[in-house]
Amino acid sequence: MKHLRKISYQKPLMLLALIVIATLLNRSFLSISNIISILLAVCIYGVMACGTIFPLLNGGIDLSIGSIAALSGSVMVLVTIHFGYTPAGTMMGILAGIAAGAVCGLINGLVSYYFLVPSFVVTLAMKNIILGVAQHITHQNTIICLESKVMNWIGTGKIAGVPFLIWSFVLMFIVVWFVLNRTKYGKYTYATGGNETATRYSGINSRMIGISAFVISGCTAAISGILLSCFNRQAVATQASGYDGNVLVMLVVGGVSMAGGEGNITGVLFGMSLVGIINNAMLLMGVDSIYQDMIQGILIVIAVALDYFSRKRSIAVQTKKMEAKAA
Amino acid sequence: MNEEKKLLYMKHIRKAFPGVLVLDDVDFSVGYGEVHGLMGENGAGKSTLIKILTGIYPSDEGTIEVDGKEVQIQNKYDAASCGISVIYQELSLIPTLTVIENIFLGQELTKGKVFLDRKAMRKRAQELVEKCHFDIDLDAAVENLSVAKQQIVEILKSLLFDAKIIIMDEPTASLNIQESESLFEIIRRLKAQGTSIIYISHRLEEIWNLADRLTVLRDGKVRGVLSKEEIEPAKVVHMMIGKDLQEEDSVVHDPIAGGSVLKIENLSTPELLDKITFEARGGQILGIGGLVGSGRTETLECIYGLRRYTEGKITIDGETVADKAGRVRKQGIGLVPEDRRVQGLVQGLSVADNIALTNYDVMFRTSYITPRKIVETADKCIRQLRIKTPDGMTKCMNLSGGNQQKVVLAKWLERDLKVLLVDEPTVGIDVGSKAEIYGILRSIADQGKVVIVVSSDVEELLKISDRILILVNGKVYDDIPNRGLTADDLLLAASGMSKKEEV
Amino acid sequence: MKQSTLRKLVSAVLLLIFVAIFSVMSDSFMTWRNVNSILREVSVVGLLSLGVSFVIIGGGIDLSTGAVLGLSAMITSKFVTETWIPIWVIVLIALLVGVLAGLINGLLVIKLGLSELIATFATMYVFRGFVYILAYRERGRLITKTVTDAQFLSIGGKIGGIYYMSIIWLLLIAAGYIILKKTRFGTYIYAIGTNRKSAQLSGINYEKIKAATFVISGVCSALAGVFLLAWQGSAGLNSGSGMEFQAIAAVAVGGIVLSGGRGDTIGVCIGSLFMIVIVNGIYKFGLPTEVQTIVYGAVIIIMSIFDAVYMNMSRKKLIVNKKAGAGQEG
Repeated sequence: MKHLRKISYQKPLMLLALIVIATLLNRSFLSISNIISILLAVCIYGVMACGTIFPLLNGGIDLSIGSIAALSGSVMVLVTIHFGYTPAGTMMGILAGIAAGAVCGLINGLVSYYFLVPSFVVTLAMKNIILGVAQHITHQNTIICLESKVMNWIGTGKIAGVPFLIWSFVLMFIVVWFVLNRTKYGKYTYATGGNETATRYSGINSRMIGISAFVISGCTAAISGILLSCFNRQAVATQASGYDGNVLVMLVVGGVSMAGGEGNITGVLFGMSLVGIINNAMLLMGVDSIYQDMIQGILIVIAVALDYFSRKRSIAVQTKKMEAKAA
Repeated sequence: MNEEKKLLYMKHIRKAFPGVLVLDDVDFSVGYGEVHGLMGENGAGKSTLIKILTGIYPSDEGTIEVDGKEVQIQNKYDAASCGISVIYQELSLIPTLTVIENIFLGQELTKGKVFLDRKAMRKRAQELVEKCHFDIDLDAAVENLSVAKQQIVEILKSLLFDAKIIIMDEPTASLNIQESESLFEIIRRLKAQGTSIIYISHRLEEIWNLADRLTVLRDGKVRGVLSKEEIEPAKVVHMMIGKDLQEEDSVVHDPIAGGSVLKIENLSTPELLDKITFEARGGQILGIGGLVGSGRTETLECIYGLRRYTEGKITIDGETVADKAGRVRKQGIGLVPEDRRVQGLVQGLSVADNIALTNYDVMFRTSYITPRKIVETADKCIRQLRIKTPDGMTKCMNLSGGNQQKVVLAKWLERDLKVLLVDEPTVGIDVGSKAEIYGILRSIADQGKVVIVVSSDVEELLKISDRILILVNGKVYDDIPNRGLTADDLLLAASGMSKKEEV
Repeated sequence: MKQSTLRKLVSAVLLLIFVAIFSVMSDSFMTWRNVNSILREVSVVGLLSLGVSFVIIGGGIDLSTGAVLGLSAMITSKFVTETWIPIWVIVLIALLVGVLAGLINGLLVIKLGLSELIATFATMYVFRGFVYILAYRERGRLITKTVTDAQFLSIGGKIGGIYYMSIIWLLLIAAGYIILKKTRFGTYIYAIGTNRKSAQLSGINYEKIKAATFVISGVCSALAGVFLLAWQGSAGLNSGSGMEFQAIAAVAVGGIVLSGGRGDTIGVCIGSLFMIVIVNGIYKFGLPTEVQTIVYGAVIIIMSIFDAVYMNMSRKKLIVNKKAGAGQEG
């Protein structure tokens, strides 16, 4: 493991420090039930982050994930109810929800890569459109769904004492780690994000890579929306508003560069832990959620600024090395 | 005539970068109202000299005198105040603004320092345009103009602050014949008004037509300053190159039986290429020479599937070559691109990842990959090509130019190629690595593969090619074996000036 | 006809089409009262659009406009209800808040090298947090306080049947047009929005101009906050929330291409009117509000695609203009 450098000790240390502070501020921080509730809260974000990392690695961004989560959750609930809460019906609902997410992602990808509209604009606009659709199909109501056994199990069931929700994140994490590090597709993603031209010159269809990244992001957003609806046993169009911000923070703080080509899903664990601990600590202290947003804003700034400075420093170090070599 | 006072004197200019002496005691002068050509191979020091004159670098030693006064040029403002301006190939205009707005950018005429005085600017612009007999629509947005007209805008920009010397760097590279003629007219008119032009170009014919005097640089030294009467193509080329390369007895290899055959027939594109036809056989290195803009890179791009062509047939061993880079790669054709930093490598990835990038389909049968195999492959390539890097995990951006180029080559050597296309193999690479790369290319050809090399370095072409193809303005000008050819022959041919008979 | 004029014409025609549709389908659309109400609404969102258009023309983006609006509204409200400072001074203070916000954005982008998207995304959150911190509380609980100062509320009044706010907005649109088209500063904004390097080569101070665009955006947002307060009488936690996207949508409709270097405030005016007319029409139709959100998104996408396709067609020319020597495709 020659790749561990000094920097990677800073992150666990930071987390440790935070945990200590949080515990000091509130005894119940380290209780099992609290830890589980942190994990639960963070899982949904985590599932989203697993997919949204793809467009980011390609140098783009996906701001529509919150709306997709809302839409997919709503679709699932509606289809489930339509089919009478049966297990088969619920499965149909889940599939429909994921399909909805995939379609949204596809649209995002196509407009970004064929019409060459910046992904920020596309996903921003789609965020509104998809939200509107979600509001429409739910008639702006909260749709309660208490009788689906499958949904209830997904939302509250446990395997070996650990909630299914957490398992689904773990599974997603493993899958994405595998894809990014052990498949051709993952390699192509990093290459496209790092230098799209050179990747194209190597004979790889970088456009496909870019479009599929958005489809993946849409699917994971859909899954997280479905998980959320199962957990809450309801669907409402506003259920995932503000999630895009959280996920973005987790990814950026976790080392994923906005320029593309850099970052890994394991770094996202750090981002998740950070956000999860801070949010939970604030919750325990009775601090309002708006402060959470504020802190996230500051976190993003710090994370990106740090990234910028370390990049500048390594370029300076490189330049000095090269000048020394040439001399 | 040499006793006349000159507008510009650069005396005893010396400039060194770490490890390299770029300009060695260079004297350069330009007279009033003179068109002065500046020629020299890449790396001869032309661009450094110009950068010193325009304030981008300071010289280590030497003085500059403008109009009889010694001046210090530390930055572009100093250069501007001395009346020196430059028009690079990459124009520095703002596309969405109009011609007038671009001309006055940064030096607008204002009413009360805030508000634009459009009337005054228009008047002044019109004066300039009339004086120079230009034909340009002042209100057009620059992005809607042809390159030729955009260059006129740049020229007007220079004239605005009373430039006494306008430096033009390869101005006709993007122009067609009529546009070039118009440019020459413009230059003659400018000259008539007393503006001097430093004209940098590889095109002998143009220098012959326009220049009053010509300075030739080679290896950082002035090899000669010729006056108009003395300018003779063969002589100029000789000054640029130095020695005849016939001394080096390069062995000409014949095609290997059973090797691949790449046939190009009537390849044409709307912008440039015109019925390009040639054949390349395995076992031989085909060099493609020609001036900047003659279509060499475009030809390679068409073969490799990166550029669309409207007419023509490309076949490899009888099989039609696809028109998409991904499929072309699978047919056994690889491209080492011109700009290795932007097109050849993903700088942020490791050596191993870059080598693997073109080869995943041959290294792994399924989608599953193992880092171990990637690293093993990389280690093998590093050993074979002697790439200087601590290991395969080093990022490409940390390698020197020569080693980066070897990584790009390694990408393709891992495959079972039939054709390797190489665009400018050794630009910016040290001598030792150059020789190694030539050896690599030779050994590829010896295996029966087709190797095509595009190069602006005439010595290089002569050294490694078995046959040489010369392109001029998108057409095949000559296609000859490399027997008894000299650099002069090639450069003349590239300028479309004379034809050497086949030996 | 110049491309920019054509583009504005397209937006204007679109606007007229929708106005026509709505007038036909609803009697109460073209009434003086409704038009006035539309104009009043436009003056708030339209101010955000005006400010952000400067940033966008300069090649950037500002997502914090809504939050600055909220912050300015809250600060103004507090000053008006809790101090005796003269109204005009308070308005000035609000504008100063806008200046400060703009400078912060500028700092993050220029000195810390943050991408504008991330920087203004973050400041959006942070400013919103400040609104929350400053909000009125009684015994620790949030309350809404209404502003009753008549002098202040008169800002939201009318003259000759038209709201002051609308008039001021229109005047500012005109001022913005003059700045962009008739001053050196304006030319420089277009320059940096198109090609940073060329601009710098011509001696333009990129950082100064960029910072200035953010300040303009901040000031416009702050003024919008004052207007909103005068109109609605109270500043809420979520005042202005979501308006930043409406503003960007309006700008996109009006022909200000989101990559920068093109467009002018007349386009912004048309675009803002367009968005509010749509919202108003939808409301009058009794269509549910989600149709609004869908329309915002759809408008942004359609206009962006339209602009992108058009630009790609002309971009083909630009490729020829690049170095033919290197022979590189753009």
